[in-house]
Amino acid sequence: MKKIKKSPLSILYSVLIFLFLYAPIAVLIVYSFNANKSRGSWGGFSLKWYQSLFENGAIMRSLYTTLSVALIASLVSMVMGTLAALGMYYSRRKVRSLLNNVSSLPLVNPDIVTGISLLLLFTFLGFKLGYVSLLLSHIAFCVPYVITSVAPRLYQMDRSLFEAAMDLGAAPTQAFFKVILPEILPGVVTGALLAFTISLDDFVVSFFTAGGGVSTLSMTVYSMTRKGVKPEINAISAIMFVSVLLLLILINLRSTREAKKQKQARR
Amino acid sequence: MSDCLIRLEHIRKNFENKEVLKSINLTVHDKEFVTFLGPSGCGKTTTLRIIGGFESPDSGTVYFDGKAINDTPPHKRPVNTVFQRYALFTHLDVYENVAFGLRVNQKTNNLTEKEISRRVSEMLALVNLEGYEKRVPSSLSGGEQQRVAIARSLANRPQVLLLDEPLGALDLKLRKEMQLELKKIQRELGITFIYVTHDQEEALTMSDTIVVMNKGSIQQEGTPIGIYNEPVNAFVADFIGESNIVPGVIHRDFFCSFGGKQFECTDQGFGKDEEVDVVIRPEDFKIVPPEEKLICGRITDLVFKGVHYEMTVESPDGAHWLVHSTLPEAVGADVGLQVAPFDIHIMKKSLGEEQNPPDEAKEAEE
Repeated sequence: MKKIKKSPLSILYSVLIFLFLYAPIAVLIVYSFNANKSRGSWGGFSLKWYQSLFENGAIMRSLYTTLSVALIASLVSMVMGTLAALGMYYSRRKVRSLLNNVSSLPLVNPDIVTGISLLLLFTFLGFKLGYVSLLLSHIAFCVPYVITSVAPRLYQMDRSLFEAAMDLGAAPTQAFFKVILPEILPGVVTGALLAFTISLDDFVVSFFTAGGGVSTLSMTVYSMTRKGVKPEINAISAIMFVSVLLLLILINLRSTREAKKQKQARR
Repeated sequence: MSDCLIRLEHIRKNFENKEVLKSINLTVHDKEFVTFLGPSGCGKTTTLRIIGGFESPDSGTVYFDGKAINDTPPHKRPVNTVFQRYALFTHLDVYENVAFGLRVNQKTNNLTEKEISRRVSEMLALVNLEGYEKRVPSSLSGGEQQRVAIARSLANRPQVLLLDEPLGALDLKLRKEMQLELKKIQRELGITFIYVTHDQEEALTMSDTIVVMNKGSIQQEGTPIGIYNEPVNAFVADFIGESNIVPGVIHRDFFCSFGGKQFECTDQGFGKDEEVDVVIRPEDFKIVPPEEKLICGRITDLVFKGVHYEMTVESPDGAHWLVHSTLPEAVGADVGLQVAPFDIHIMKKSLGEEQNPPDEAKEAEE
């Protein structure tokens, strides 16, 4: 690629953009290490808010809820989404495009609508709100993300691969596990990671579907802020930000590696 | 040719109300190189897929070695396929691609790792890919991928190899090389090849038997020489090589007329003054000075084709004649076209068949 000479102005512009995007988070992270309780003044570096965080039962319980929901939801939606993508791939063109649209609609649906509609559904069915309803809701909004990351892998794949495997003597199940699954695995894993991140990230849907007894991390933080922003909140927010950031970096690394491989293959 | 290996009886197939195969009857012999030749949409790939087990016929029976195999799934059929776009497993290296068929049945066939390794090396040697074991498919050229696909499909030692336009994606020179190589492999291994192509030259080069198909039915079945020299109808004549096909009348045995002139010919057994199609290969015309009893005309087009020149001669009645000759004539020259009686091929008018099949929906893939 040709190297484009960067003018000082464009560098300044980029710096401003990143400042705009990351300054609030940077402030938050810095304050999470502030020994002083008040937000106005800097009282030296300290890890005490992190310590008190781990001693806080409510936060630890909601952290456990968040992580377990994210883990189960991402695994279940990984399986469901992959099967759905496969089903769409092998169905007829008209059915396929219909399913494609239907399954990607939840991606653009506002969270608040998803949350309220799920709440209505659970109430309508007489389903008791709690951990299970929270988990089901998370699975529901994670599945489309898995579908969207598995589908491209499928369409890149040679349509005859399944037949080729059978032709060589593999029974249909063997053909799936030995050929199709390995071919689409990168998409499946990326989908699961994405689902995990989205689930961790969610507040609105959880808020509507978790019911009284159960609380995710973001819900706990939200309820704590109503009594004023405590320094622990800075700490937990910093942790959440860093972990989601790491996950996103992981996902992006995977997809760039994929793209590079594609490029090589085409050559 | 020895005994019959595959027999298709009254095979019919519809895709969404479209008749793709209309009662196909066909016998394939052991160790034969058979080519299904036809334009896209003629049903050749569907026939191949029915033999491979990927498609089931709506009616009719497929026999393999005397046994009906309609209900045998693809993974239990003693045939292997080379797919159009190779269908290599991109997550496996060349070695594992070739070993795939051996591994899936490793236990039932009692294959040791050593035996697998021996068979893979043998196959890679057969397709001249020694030393490629650790390469991944995406790092190979089209021709190399093609060779891997062939090696992979032969590793299971099938009795029949099905090839679905395997050379379609290769450039001309490579295609010619691979044609000869495939023929050599077939002879060395002594197995049956069933080959699908729309390239008539490929079919003529490699086949023992050519099956010309159009619109879901078999037009003609025969040796390359037989089909080239004695096409049974205008479609075959037009599809196999270039031809001049003109309406004519056969007045009595060995005597016909077309293009306003009368000719002796070598055909007999037609009705008196029956209307027929007359087929003359462009290379069978000889350009001579114009003469009263010959077809005469003016050269309107001259194209250099490498081995020969291709000329178009327009006769006064407006007909165009395609002529191949190694000696060019200037555009605008008046010439006569001489043709020997045995080069005039008389064909019954094929009823209800247009001469040039419209390019219909592509071979149904779904």
